[in-house]
Amino acid sequence: MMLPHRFHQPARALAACALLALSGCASKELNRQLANTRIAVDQAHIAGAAEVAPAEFQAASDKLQRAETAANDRKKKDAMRLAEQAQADANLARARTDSAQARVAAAEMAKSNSILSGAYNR
Amino acid sequence: MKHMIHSTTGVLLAGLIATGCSTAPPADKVAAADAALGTAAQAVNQASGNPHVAKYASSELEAANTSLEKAKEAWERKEDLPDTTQFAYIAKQRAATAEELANARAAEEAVTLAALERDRAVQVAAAQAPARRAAEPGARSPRALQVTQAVAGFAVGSAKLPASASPMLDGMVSNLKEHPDRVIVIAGHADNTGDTRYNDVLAMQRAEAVRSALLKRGVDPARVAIRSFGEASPVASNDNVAGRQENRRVDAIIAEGDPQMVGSTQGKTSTTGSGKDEPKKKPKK
Repeated sequence: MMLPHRFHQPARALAACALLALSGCASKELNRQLANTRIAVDQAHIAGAAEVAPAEFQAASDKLQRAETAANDRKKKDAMRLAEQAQADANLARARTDSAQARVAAAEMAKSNSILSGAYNR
Repeated sequence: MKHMIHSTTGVLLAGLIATGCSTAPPADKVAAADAALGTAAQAVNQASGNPHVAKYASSELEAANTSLEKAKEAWERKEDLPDTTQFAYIAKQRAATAEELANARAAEEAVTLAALERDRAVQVAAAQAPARRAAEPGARSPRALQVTQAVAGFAVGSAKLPASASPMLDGMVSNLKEHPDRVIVIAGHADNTGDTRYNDVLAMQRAEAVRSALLKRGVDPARVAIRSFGEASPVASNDNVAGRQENRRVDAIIAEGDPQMVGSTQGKTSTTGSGKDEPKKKPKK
């Protein structure tokens, strides 16, 4: 399992900004939103959302891709909407994943407690 | 939720349509935005009603409410249906996120508290075990516990068993085979690299790797439990390389699972046995 790519995102955001600058559509607000969305999708991926919450994670991934395409096509408003939605979807995917893992941990704890309580109680 | 025909803005819209204004939004788009707003309001309402949300995810709920308010404002303005639909969607997703996060955090806190209780009980029982053995010579203590540092030195971010694991695993397996009444609880740990939740998962994966290895060596799965401490229970300092390597480990607690063995002289050399490995003995009343 890989460690979180803490330093990965700013570089990609810069690259995208450069692309948009060349196409004459350099919007700070849009770039910031796209960067935040990429971080949210990455974190959901690292948490295992692709396996545990596939519907929400796939929606987030797809919308992010469409947002980036729209940004390159200078469709700023579309790009902004899609990126915002993708971020909300990615956050939900991650929350579903955390929730499922917490349930697993609680079940394991209950199981180990019941095994150990046999050893404690006469 | 107000419907188009009954609200003042609906009357305005009808007026626009009557004057043949080409910027009037189509009726189906208005209905869709109305429906989205209704769904969002319902989702936020449900999240607000969840008792865990107020305690564990209040800021996420607030974010959902903010989006819902923006959606309502856009709806009142009526020229900007896309904004209504957008904010409503965001509000709905944020409300669902608030609920999931709240449930996750509540479960995590419950696990932490149960773990603390369990640790205290383990320490107390382990401290009492030698005294009990001394008090009853010739009889085995029914609550003998061993806390063994089983497998250390996992690679950073990895749950793959290190090379040193093999002899440790053999030791656990033979202990469990010699004492069919014993059970094992495997606790995974991590150093403090990465965030807490990531380490909770990583530590659980390490415990799972050890369990998997035990099952492959023939241990009955009913005798094995796993749990994760994440980065919460280091044995060495996380400030240096050697300390972190020690912390990337799995501990095992081997305990007697059969409480009816008090004062019993049963053991692996039982005279009723045939000499083969015997299955787990049922307790005698």
